[in-house]
Amino acid sequence: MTSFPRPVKFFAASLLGAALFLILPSVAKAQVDPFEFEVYPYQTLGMGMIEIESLNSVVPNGHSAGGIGTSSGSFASQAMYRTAIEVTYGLTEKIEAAAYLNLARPNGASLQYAGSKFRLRGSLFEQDELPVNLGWYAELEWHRTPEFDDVPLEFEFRPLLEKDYGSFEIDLNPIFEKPIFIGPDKNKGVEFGYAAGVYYRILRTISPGLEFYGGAGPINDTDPLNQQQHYVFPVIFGVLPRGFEYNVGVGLGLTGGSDRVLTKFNLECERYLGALFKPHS
Amino acid sequence: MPVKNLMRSLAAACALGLIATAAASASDLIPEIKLHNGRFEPAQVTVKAESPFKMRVINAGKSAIEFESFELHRERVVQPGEAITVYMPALNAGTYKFFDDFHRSTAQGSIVAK
Repeated sequence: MTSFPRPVKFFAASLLGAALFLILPSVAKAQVDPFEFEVYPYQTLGMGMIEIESLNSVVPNGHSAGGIGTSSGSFASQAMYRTAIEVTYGLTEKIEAAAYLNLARPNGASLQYAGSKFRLRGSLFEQDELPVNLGWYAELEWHRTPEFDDVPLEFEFRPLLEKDYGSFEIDLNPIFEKPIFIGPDKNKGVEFGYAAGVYYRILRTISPGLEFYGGAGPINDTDPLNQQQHYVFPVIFGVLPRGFEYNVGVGLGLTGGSDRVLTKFNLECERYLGALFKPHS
Repeated sequence: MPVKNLMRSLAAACALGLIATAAASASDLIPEIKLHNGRFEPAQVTVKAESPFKMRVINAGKSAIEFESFELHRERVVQPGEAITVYMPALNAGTYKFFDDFHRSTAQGSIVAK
């Protein structure tokens, strides 16, 4: 009987679970956040550390109408350049806070404001204290820019799961998102989405990985599969001189509702700023 | 219903994790390394291969350090005068490098699993 390595088994089981979840009729998916193609690991930024990150994506092959693919507003996704500037600070050893400024340049238009986000992220227990490393992520996202996103205020929650198998790292971020308080969609239910990654650490300077992003729409009223967005991104990541970390990839849309091809380029730099709170010994 | 099942599965995973923690077989002997005068002391720690263990990292210096190991996927800030406990999985026999990412040129060391 053929025996597969544990990382392969774990990942195959995860994919099977995700596939089953997507085809169940009463289950739903959420939209993809096109301003942030990033999978969150267990580990948070260390206390007193500050990180500045530039998250960039371009849609070379998308859709020419708004409201489809990665477009959630009236601007079409085709040739859209999106960038988010993220500033993160390590509040404690296990909790970090981050603020985002989203900007976008639609095809033929200038770079413009496209929304803001604030989030907290935390890790639970110590790394490898549990069989699976657990964390959490809570985000508030607001827009006054319906041309980019017609939901003015959203809350998002993600449990974060991570498991290492030797040089393999597997990260799973199920995403639960809900419009809140204001706007015509404020009473809409929760949407489900996901971000996931499998990484193989070869060299600190360059290593390969595969990332997955997608959404199924409202949990109570799943979008048809051909209207859902699902992407797979082969990526490379690593550390450049002077401590700059990068993650670059090409995203391939897997459904008719996805953009066909996306590219992403994330660059981050972290430095020790000093602890705001005194650590407890 | 599937979401309920998902939440139940997550809760079960947490519960299993807690049980596994209680039954953890990490060694009672905790190796220690101390960063002093910009260097790790000792610079090499020997542990038993194929057995999970904990390690204590003490920052005896006057500035923060970042205990990091690419091979072990560890990156932890240690404030001056503070100590952290790092949980390590069962390692295959071999040598695993670590360093202080804030002072990489001087503060380096390794864990040897035998």
